[in-house]
Amino acid sequence: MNLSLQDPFAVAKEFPESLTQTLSAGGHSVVIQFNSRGDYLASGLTDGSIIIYDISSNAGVIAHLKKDRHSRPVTSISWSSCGRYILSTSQDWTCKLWDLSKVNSERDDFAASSAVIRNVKFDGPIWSAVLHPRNHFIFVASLFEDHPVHVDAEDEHNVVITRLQTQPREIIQGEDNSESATPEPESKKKKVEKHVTLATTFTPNLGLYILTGTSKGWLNIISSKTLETVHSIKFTNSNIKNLVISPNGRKLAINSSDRIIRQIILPDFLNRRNDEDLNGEEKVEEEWDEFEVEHKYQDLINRLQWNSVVFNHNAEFLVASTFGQSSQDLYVWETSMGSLVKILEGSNEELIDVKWNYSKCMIGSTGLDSGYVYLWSIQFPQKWSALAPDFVEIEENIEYDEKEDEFDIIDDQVLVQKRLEEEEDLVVDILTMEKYDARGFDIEESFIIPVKYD
Amino acid sequence: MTEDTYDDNTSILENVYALKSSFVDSQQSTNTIRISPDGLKLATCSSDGSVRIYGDILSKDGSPPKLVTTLLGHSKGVSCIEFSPVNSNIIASCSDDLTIRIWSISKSKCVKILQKHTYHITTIKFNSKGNLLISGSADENITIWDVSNSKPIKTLAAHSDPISSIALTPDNSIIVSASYDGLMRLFDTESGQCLKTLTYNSSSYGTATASTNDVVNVPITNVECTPNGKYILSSSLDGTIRLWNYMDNKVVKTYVGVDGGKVCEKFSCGAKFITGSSHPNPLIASGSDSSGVLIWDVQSKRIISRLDTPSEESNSNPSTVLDIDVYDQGKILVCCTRDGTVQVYEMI
Repeated sequence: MNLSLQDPFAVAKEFPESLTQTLSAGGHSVVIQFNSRGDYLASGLTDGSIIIYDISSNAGVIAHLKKDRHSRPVTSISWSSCGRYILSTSQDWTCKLWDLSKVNSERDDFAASSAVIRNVKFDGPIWSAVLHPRNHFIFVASLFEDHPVHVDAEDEHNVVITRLQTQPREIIQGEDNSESATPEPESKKKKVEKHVTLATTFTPNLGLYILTGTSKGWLNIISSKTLETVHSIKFTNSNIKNLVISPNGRKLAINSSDRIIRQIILPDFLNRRNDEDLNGEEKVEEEWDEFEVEHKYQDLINRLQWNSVVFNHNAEFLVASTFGQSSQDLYVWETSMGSLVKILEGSNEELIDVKWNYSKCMIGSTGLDSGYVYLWSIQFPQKWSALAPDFVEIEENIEYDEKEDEFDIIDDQVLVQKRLEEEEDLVVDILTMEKYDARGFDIEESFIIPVKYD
Repeated sequence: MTEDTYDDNTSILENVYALKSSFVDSQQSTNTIRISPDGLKLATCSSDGSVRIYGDILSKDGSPPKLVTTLLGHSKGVSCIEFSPVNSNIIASCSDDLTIRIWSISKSKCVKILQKHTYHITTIKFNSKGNLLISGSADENITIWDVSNSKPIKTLAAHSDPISSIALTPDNSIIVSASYDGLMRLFDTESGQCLKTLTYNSSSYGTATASTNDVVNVPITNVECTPNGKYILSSSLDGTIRLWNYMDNKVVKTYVGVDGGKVCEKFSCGAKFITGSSHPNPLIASGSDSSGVLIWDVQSKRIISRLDTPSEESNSNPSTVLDIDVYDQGKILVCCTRDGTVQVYEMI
């Protein structure tokens, strides 16, 4: 509600402009993630613990998840849409699902039940994992030098881990026919071994599909229901490092090690909002050739590698962090024309992870050397006239015309009476809540993390 | 004001509440009363420096709530208490001894002391997440505290007299402060910027500088946000309660006492919204100097009900109701008086 009293031009800004906060509490941060409502920020540290900040109150630490923490650095964090659960992955070969309602328990640490409600162990370090948008017990993970996995941890004692395909669909089919495939089995086997998946994610809304990016530049689209690869496209010859889908499901950004970020328009059927549309598979098949590269973002002069990339809520802007000690900035592009609109500065070190807080219009990033979390946001100018209600800020001098009745003496009683009469016709609604905030985001209830009082 | 304006103001009184119990809480005045967010506990604070916690608010046999524990530690009178909105076992209190204390009720122990104010602390408020505490003091400052590390985050110094009351919008983004300097200021919780100032005085329509000598600003004693946060209810020592639309700096409703009289002009009396009654419109309940608890219809501004508090002497007026609190949209209403009596009412 504060936004409706702020300068409307400042509220309408679509991307942040200045570095406003640096968070350094507790340790060396490597990954960050905002919750969907944008009031909490989870920061994964090199010591394997996770710190959660309350962004809406000048970034005070609300919880430090130390008990049952990872034994090696955290590699990714994913929030459930309700805000109560977070999934963390680490180089210690495990994925942990945390229930935040169990943190800051008043009971002594000894008696308190652990906040980690699921602990899934793999055969190697984990690059990253993403929770299903509707079910916090289901996630997909990309593993180091391995194929991606789909995990259903609904039943604590029977966690179902399904290995997904890395090989593109065309090649698998080719094997079946054994006509187009290479006749020599040994060399082919070698080839297969090298091909690994580096990035996985769910499509937003219903999470109908899993998108994976491989070390050979293939994008695989896997159905979340059958867990079969339904389509594969090759975009590049080099590693796909990140796959980022905009929250509205319209655009996909592929960051690959050939120093290019490819922006792709996703076909509509990938992000259906209702289950009703889920009919025949044949109809879906026909639309698969719609993936077109809309823009390629690259730095032709410095040949910069991009560390990490993320969209804003409506996919109108894209921000990326850059590799190398020489460059310490975040690049913000406008996505319809592909033009660079802003370079966010101020960190004085290389930035790694980058995340966009949609409702607060804030961009967060982690520093490589210091492990600080940098936050860029919009600064509102102080309206000095707010302190004195009859003062008005004016752009330039104005000739003041005295109002007709300005210095008339009116009897107080009459004035009060007049005001009271005016009130009679007013109907006040003190109950109906606003549905949207000043930036147009839904005002939704979100999980509140318990506070440690003692 | 003419007599006939309020002729029908108090003509028909309804029975909205039934008295369930009444008991003596303190030998001195009971300043603030609160019901815990889970509805199980009742807390009071008194000028004798103690905070008392009661259980069994509505017992079946009609006996008064039972004293669970007395939290002792403040060396001077306690002016305000507030339950943590996320944990009914935690209560904060502020006192004339310049400290804010955070208590664990189950341990009956003070778990934190927040100290920074340089004069009597008059009011405190938690944000709805329970991690921030906002305090107002007679040192004319408002301080925002981070409760988890006991550190002050910001001090808002923009009033020229003691702060009397603080309210927050439901989304916690605006802090509304009221002061004896007659101003209500709206602050952005995140940045601490002053967003707006509201004042009501005799010479103009809701706006005037506080500094002008010939303008008298009446001290404001209590502020409360409506459930949707779009209006602010202010009580001032001119004896009226006003409902403000703060977006356009306008008073939209004015509520006055019995027969057009004053609600409170000597004491700071708490007010609350009642939204769960069978009445077609929401209601406002407020304590008063000498007419018990008054209940108005928000729209018509009529007093629809009155709850009499016991008087000190048999023939005198009801004693001053310093504070009230409601639970479950007003299904339960509790009030406390200047002579230390607590009453529990249930909605009929």
